[in-house]
Amino acid sequence: MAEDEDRPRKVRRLASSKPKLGRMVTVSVGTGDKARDFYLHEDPIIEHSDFFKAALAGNRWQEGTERKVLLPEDEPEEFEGFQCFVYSGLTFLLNHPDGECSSIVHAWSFADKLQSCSYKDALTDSLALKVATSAKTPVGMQYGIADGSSVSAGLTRLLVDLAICYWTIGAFEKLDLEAAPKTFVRKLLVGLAEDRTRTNEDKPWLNEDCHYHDHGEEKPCYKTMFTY
Amino acid sequence: MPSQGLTTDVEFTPVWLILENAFTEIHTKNASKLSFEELYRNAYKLVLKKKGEELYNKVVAFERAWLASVRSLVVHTLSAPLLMGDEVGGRTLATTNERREAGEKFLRCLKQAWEEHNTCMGMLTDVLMYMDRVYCTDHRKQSIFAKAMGVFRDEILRTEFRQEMPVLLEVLRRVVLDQIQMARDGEAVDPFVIKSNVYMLEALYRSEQEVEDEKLYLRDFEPDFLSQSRDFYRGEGERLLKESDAGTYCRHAKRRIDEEGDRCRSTLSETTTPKIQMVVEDELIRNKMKGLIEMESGVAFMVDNDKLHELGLVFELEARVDPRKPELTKAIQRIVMEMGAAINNAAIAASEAAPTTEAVAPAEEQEEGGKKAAPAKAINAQTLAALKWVAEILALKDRFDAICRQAFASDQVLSTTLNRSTADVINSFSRSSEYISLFIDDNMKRGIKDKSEAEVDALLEKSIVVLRYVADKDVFETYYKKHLCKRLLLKKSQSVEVEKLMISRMKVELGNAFTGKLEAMFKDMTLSEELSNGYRKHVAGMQRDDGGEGGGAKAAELSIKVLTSMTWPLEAFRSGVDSEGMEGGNGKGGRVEILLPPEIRRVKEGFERFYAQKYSGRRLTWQNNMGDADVKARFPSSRHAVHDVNCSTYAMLILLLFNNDDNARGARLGGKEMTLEEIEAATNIPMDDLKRNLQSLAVAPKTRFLVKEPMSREINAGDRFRWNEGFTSKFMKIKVGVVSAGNKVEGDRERRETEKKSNDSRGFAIEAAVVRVMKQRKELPHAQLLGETITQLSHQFRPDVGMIKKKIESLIEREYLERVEEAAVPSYRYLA
Repeated sequence: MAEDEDRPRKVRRLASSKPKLGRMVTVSVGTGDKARDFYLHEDPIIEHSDFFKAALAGNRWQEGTERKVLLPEDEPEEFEGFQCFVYSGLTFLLNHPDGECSSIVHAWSFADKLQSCSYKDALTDSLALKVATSAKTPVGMQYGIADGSSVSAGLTRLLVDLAICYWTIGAFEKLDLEAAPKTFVRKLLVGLAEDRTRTNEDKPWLNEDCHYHDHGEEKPCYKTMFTY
Repeated sequence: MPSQGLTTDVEFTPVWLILENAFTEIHTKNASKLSFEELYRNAYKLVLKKKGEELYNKVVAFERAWLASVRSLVVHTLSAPLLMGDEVGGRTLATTNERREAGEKFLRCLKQAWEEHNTCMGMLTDVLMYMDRVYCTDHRKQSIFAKAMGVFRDEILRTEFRQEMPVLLEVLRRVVLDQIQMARDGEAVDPFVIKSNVYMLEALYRSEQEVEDEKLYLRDFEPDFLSQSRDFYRGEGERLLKESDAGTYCRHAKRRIDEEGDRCRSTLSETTTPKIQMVVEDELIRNKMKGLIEMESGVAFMVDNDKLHELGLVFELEARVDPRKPELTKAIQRIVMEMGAAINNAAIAASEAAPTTEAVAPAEEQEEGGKKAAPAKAINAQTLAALKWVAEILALKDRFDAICRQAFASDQVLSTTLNRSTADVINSFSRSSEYISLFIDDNMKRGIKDKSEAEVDALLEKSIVVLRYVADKDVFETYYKKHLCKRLLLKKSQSVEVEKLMISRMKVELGNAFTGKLEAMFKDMTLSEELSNGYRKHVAGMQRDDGGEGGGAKAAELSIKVLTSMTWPLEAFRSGVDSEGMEGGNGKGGRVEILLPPEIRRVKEGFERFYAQKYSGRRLTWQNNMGDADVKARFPSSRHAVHDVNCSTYAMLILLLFNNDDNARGARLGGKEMTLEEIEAATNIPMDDLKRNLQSLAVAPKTRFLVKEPMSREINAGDRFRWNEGFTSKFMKIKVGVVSAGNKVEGDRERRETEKKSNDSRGFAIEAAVVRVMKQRKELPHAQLLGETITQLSHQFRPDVGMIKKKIESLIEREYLERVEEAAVPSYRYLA
């Protein structure tokens, strides 16, 4: 685990606060040659994913009785990213052909499928951090978002805000209206209308707060979940 | 590469078939072979492809169809005994047992349907998680779970299953109410199955907007339950009041309240507990309390028969519905007042039955003289009445204190009521102050003899307890002073220590102002003792110096009490005067110079000189009508050579007239004969006192030192007296009784005097209080002045408003106050 400056590592902890790990679960990702088995502790993945929580609850489903979850239509690399996040609280990103930003968006979609709010928010933060520290303006990420995914998701909001702030005229001209999610386009238009009153200093993605997070009031921010 | 859900297009129908199939498996409890991931993925894909709405509607339709089949299962359990219900609360012709079993069968089936529905919907919700989170949230739809609950309500509970039949919700309500009624009648019903159905009603809402107080339980069940219960308990309460006694009623009511509370816990909902208890309390307690308290076996009966436990039940019942317990308070107050009035009336009757003069007990107070069998001292019947009164008041108070402690949990309200009622009883009795003082007097003189410290302490405490209630403390003070004065001067008190203890208790209870004068009396006593001793030494010294001037043998010893004139109520000693008793002759009686024989006069003059040396400027007034003397007397025919005679000062003077000087070794009575008039002339003793003393000396058989001619009880003018040479007595010490020296209840005339006196002193107290208040406030409205004056005086007595007004008038006349002319309300101003 990397040293966090805001949260100095303390080596002495009370026994009562030790992490809960639970039993082991097998997660088999992909099909055929690409298939890979992962062995994880039950408690952390249940904590970070409502999908796993439902799948492993009691003996309701096959997954529960067999202690094994199959994810045939997903990619082992994506799951590995999730696994690493679950144990570390950090995002480890693939070198996606379309660049790091696109890989973040893909990882986010996977996190959305697993209903892992914490992973989603961490990925959104990673994207904001990436944009804030690089000179390049990301352009094509919106195509990675499914049309049916949540309109109010933090990632969509961040992408809209980034487009309003950084896109050139050319970028707008090149926007593929067929491929872009309708929710994104609608939000972008609303945002542009609002932007006429917005000042340049107002860039929420530069703040390290929960502006783009999906956890809401009920769930904790992932930043508070990793105390080790 | 993004996941396939995003790239491949999805056909709705095949995917839905997979899901529908799985849902059927779930509803038939075959889910454990299903892969959650597969179902989840399929639903997820449909939502991603914007088919959320279609999916949602399909699921609802599926549930609707499924529940319709469940409904017919439930309807199937409805058997004849349940359906034959007439309109009056589900009563049927079937036997209770049949009805109960049929009802339970129905309830169990409904419970099962509900619980299975919940379980299945929990699983469906998991599968449809992505739809709930994304589609339902973005489109502001009810969650699928909530929607399915509404479907259950509509399909199962609200759908008409047969014409002319009530819907299942109505059937359910009737069955549950019927079961509860059976439970109340003592049948054993299954609480758990009812409770499960109540859970269901609590989880369902009337409409899609899940408003908290729109729960089916609150709207469609509870009101009927409460009104049915109200009818039932109203009837039951009325029946019980007629049929059983109050104790049984209390126990029953308490049991019913507990039962309903338990029922809410075990069978219905805890939220109903306060409401149903309110209903039972209304019907069994609040509306019946008055009837219950007043019934033949009610509170009065319980008090009479010491039914503490049942009183406790009544108390608990009423405390439950009203912390002020108005009915019980009223009842207890009435009972205390009634019992108190009986005691007061008995005391008045007793005192009126007894003659007010003391003719019955003439000079019978022969005490001591070695005679042990003298407890049957004649106590005046009135004094007895006083003692009886105090004892009964104490018993009354003890009794109700015990009731309050044991049955009423020492309740504040009831204690206050008891105290107030007791005070009312005591203060409504005009002689309470006098009787309490007499009670203490009697105990000081006789009661505390041979008693342990603790017993004495308890006695003192009792006196204080009663005294605490007396409002007119000033009247009590007057009596107490009078009685104490006699006890001290006549040495009737058993123990000065106990007297002082009593005073110090009064000090704690009533304050310094109250006991100041009483303490001064004790101080006088102590000082007098020192004076007497000092004088005795002084005389002894003089005798040594003079070598026995005047003959040492003849010098009388003197023990003296010097009393501060304002402190001691010496007029008390006139109280022996009969009601017809010559006030004119006696009014200045104390001032007539009594003629003393030389040996006595010498002593008196000697002491006056001695006293003048010690305290110059003080004048001594001799109270010859008080005091007593020890005289040695010889009677030739008596078996003792010398008798020690103790008699009053006056009796001594009379005896000395008959003294035979020839025998100088001791007082020996000689053969001289004197008439009444001669004796009066020789001594100057007031005629009334003279007659009474002569009665003691010449009529009372045991102390007949003189022979009277003619012999008769009464002393009349012209009677002649001579020494009784033949006197004999087996006792060496003889005490000559003094008629009417004890403390007794006052006669009417005395009471009038006492009242007048206390009115006078109240007048002064009121004036002083008014002046104090005005001096401080300078200007004050009339009403406020009255109020403050009353407050100031309340620890002494209850001032009469008319008297205060009169005193204010008088103060204005004397120019201490003036009316404020320009004030809006009548006001006064203080004139410095």
